[in-house]
Amino acid sequence: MDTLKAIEELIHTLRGENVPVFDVEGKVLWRIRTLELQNAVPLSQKIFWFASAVAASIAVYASVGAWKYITSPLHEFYNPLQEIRLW
Amino acid sequence: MEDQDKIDIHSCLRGDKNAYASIIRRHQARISRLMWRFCRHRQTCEELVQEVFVQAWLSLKDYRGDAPFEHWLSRIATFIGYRYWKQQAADKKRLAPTQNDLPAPTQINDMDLTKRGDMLHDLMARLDPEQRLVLTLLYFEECSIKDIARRMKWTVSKTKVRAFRARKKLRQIADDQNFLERIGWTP
Repeated sequence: MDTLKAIEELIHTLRGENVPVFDVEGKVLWRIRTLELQNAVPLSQKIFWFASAVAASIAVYASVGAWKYITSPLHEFYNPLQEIRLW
Repeated sequence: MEDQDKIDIHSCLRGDKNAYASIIRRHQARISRLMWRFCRHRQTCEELVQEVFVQAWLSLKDYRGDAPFEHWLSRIATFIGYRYWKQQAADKKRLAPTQNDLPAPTQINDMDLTKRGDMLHDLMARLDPEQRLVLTLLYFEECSIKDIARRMKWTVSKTKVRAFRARKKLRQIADDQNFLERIGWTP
């Protein structure tokens, strides 16, 4: 008999095999709850993020005002050279 | 059952875990059976079944209700099983050289259906994951070529070619290994 036909018949017989049935209800629900807890952000962390954002905004606002007083270090480097007398 | 599924899905989307528990209870036997085709190791198979239901929960909002819930769940299960096989194949390639012979049975006459099933599972593990998947769905799940193509989002012609090649390769491997003699199978 052809090997493939024989295997097909074996598979046909195997369909009647006793297959274990897993009771996964409890474990699945536990895994779902764990996932939800991992993804949930606690209130304290949200408050910390909000405070950090406010502090960063204040720092940017203050630094924009001071920007015009900042001198370029490169400019400072070559500026004195212009006053040197060469002859 | 289908109506009850729809009612429970609506409750699940509102966050009702008890409704999801009843969905699991209704479908776990069928999914266990399907995943057993992918893995015959009890503990790993149980983990795969769990993974199916966790993934289904995460994707539940995408279920449109066009097809029966049972089919949608089977599709997720098939993808998880297929992914498991691909991972197994990659690990096998990376970690160890391919084994050439099937383990010899101790006493052929005593071999029951489960042992034969185990050996057939080992034999089919020598196929590429996609060829193995086509044959598993074709033979064990009695899916048609069109069903497989729809489930895996492959074209029908591509699925036909895969099935043809898979059958050819399975016959070749079985002949090389004297598979039928080893398991004492005479239909």
